[in-house]
Amino acid sequence: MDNNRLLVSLSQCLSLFPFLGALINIKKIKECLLPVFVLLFVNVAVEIIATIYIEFDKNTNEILHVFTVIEFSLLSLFFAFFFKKYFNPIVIYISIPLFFIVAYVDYKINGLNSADNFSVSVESFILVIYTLFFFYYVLKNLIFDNLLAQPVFWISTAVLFYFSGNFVLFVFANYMMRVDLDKYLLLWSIIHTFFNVLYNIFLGIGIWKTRIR
Amino acid sequence: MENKDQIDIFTLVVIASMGILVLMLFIVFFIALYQKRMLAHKTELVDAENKHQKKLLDASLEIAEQERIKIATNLHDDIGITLSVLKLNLSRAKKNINNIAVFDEIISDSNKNIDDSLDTVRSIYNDIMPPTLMKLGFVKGIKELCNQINYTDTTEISFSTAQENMEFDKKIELQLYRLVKEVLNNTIKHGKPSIIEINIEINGSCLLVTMLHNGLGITTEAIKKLSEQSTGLGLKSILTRTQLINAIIDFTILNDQIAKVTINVPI
Repeated sequence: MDNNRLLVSLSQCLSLFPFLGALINIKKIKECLLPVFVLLFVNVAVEIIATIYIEFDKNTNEILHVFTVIEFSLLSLFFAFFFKKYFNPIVIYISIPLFFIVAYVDYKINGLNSADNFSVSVESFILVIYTLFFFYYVLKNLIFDNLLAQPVFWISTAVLFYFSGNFVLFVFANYMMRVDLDKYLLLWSIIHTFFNVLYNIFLGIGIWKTRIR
Repeated sequence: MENKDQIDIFTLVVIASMGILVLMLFIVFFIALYQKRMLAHKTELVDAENKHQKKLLDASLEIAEQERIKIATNLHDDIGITLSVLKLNLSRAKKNINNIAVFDEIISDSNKNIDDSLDTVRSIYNDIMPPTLMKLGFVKGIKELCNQINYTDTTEISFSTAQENMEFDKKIELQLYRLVKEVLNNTIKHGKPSIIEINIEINGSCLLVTMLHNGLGITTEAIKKLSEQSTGLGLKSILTRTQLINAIIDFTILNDQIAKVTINVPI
């Protein structure tokens, strides 16, 4: 268990990396990167609050329910602000209030004290679709001369890796918790931590690229 | 059994997560790599188009230069020499003013020289500004052109149109006339047809010139390749003039015996 906590703590600390990068490049944070910056701030805040809750043996699930909704809204706005330069992303705008309904249903069925796996799974599915559409659109229209120099590319890659990699984990989380909690926590600390590390590294690269632009 | 199912679920989640990771890595690498290639290809196409446009521009400048040289040569070799001879004749006439026979001969020669010069001037003028085209319009101009070619007995040209009195922008008329003339010259020179049929009709807001001939045909793709490879100005001139009037020219081979050229011009 100590090793699990170590891994989780490591991934929590790594969320500071993109946040610090955003603070340094704060003047360059414009347009579609604004929701990502807010999300980084919320990420760090949630990590700190979750750590305090764990220290006092309190259930962190109620924070995570709220965090999921905020995370989805901000990432959807990121894609919406990017796409609005090319067409009206009304589908993305509509998905935000619809997700509120999904989160509410999850809360009503499972309550605030259990994990929000249903809403996180839906969130993962929708965000993966947004990122795949982003890559398709960018490739089809050749919007950028140098894709690897674009912050939006790295942020989309971060979202794609994190939410697609953790998707199966999110979907089966409730079942695995009921079956073997220790094994589930071990799996969570390895898989989720791994993808969380990738997520924060790619986000950090994306934020750093705003400096080079 | 239940334990086995439990282990299987955990194994499934691990394998599925790793599988998804590999898939996403592949997707992202593929996109980054493919985007570079597509961009390189797009740049290549734009460069090729720019080169082609530059070639056409160079060709049109060279055509204009050659026409100036032709006019200058005609003026110098024909009219210049004739005027020099006339000047000499005037000096001779002054000296032989009392010799009526010689005087008459000089006057007669000078008249002939002046007539020759006037013919040369008319020929240059007709080449630059065909009078039938200028005064009577495009249809009559083309008819006149067909008559001129028929007089040479190289090819038999027949002309038909439903609209005898069509009028449109003079600049387009002149360029279209020159384009049709250039196409006819090329067709007769390279296709060697014995019969050509020309038809002109208005199709909505476009003028359609159709030429059918029984000579050696060529396709539009072959024309484009040849214009890039060859140094001759004829094909480049055709393509340049087509672009100038926003026309579309199409060369097709209908069968072994008939080839077709269509020029579609918005008017």
